[in-house]
Amino acid sequence: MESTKYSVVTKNLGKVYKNLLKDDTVALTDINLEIENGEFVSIIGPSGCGKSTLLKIIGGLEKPTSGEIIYSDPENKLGFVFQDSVLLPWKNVRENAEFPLVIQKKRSPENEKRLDELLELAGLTEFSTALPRELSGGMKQRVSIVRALSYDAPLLLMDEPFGALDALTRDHLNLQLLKIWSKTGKTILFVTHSIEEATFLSDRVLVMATRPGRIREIVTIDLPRPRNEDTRNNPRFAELNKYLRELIG
Amino acid sequence: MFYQKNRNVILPILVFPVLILVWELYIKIFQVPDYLLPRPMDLLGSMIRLFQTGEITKHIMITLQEIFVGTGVGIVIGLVLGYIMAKIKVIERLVMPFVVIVQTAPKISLAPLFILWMGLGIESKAALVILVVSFPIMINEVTAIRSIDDNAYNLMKVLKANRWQVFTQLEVPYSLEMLLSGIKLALTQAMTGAVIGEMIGAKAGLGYLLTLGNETYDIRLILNAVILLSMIGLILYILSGLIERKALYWKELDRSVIG
Repeated sequence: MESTKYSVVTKNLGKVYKNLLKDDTVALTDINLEIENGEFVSIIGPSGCGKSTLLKIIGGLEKPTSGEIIYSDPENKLGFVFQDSVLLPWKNVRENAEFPLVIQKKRSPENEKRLDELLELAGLTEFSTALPRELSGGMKQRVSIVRALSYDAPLLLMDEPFGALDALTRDHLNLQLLKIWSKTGKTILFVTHSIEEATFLSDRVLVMATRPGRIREIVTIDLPRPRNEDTRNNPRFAELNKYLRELIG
Repeated sequence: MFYQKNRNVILPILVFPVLILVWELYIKIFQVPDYLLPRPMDLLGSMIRLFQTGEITKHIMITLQEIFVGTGVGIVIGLVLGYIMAKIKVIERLVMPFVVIVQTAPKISLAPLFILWMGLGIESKAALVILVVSFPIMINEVTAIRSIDDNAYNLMKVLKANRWQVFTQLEVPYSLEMLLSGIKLALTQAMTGAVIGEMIGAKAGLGYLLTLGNETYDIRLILNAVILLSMIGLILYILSGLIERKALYWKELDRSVIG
């Protein structure tokens, strides 16, 4: 059955912005995707190719103008991690991570326990009472990831989550994200503008082209898992990066 | 250590006796007559007498009542109007031009109108305070709601939060921040509004005492009213600073507010 194998399927998804005086802007056209359960898929492409728009449409934050999306989860529950962590400044680390449970009235002992495990996994336990202003950018983003995972949605959408961080922090968080991903078994859709990041993390990389925003190619990343610091020294890693870079042009 | 910690309090207290001494010497040297400037001890004596007869407490209470009722109602009105304007663009476009026009006119200039309409009681002064307070609060609220990150709303949408949750969990806390930083300013303006209203037309209150003292050449009464007003102002300022620090614990605040 299709519905059990795929986490998200999009069919001929399109987005057109109507302009009053000029021609309409076609932001996305003919997006056909099949994201498998538990898969890590990155989306890269030149700026203006609509990769963030695509993610927002899948996340239900924007409406497509054509096509349809099928979620395996009947409630289409999903977690969303934004580029800026969007933590509530008056709540401490744990309260921020717990926020979805409060909103959705799901503060059961087992959910609280899972939340503590996630905080532990993200290395945030000792900072659970710290306020956002006391945290570094990388830590804020980790809180934001734990928050998105707290209500156990099967699908996690990430919109350039590490884009504003320095290279060292980014590499570190990439490793940590892979750890969290393998422990939780989530399906992750990850928008980034870093080719290396996409290669390092993903099972498949979706390369998009611009004007109109469309899928150019879906590249399978055949690097062995689990991936770690050594992965970056693998000659295949460099090959894939080179190939992707040429694709984007 | 003790000095380091309380420097902001200790220094002014040390300056105070010097000030009194200069005042006393000034009167002695230049032979200033009593009806222009009383000696410090005389003034203190008259202040104590005012409290002993109990006459002054009535005036203090009336001025405080005007300030608190006016500020309270003014904040609520400012918040509600500000929220509506921030949420409904059409209303903002319709109302904002008038708001700007009224804002540029000194609101105190409306005092005579209010007194004609509402009489010499505390209503006219409270109304003036409401007007003075609600405008800045309203503008602040519009800014506060507008400055909330789009992604914060997106987060609420992803979590499938309802409108009430967006309001209580996101919009109220963010407005509180703006509101509290505006309240300090509002309170000082509220006091100005109340006092000027009283000076123009009232039967009681510290502003009324200022006018009364002026008309009866009672320098002691004037000075006592001024001293009481600045003390009220100082207490309100410290109080609002304390509330702000308690409520905005999650923010780095200017620590010079209190001692």
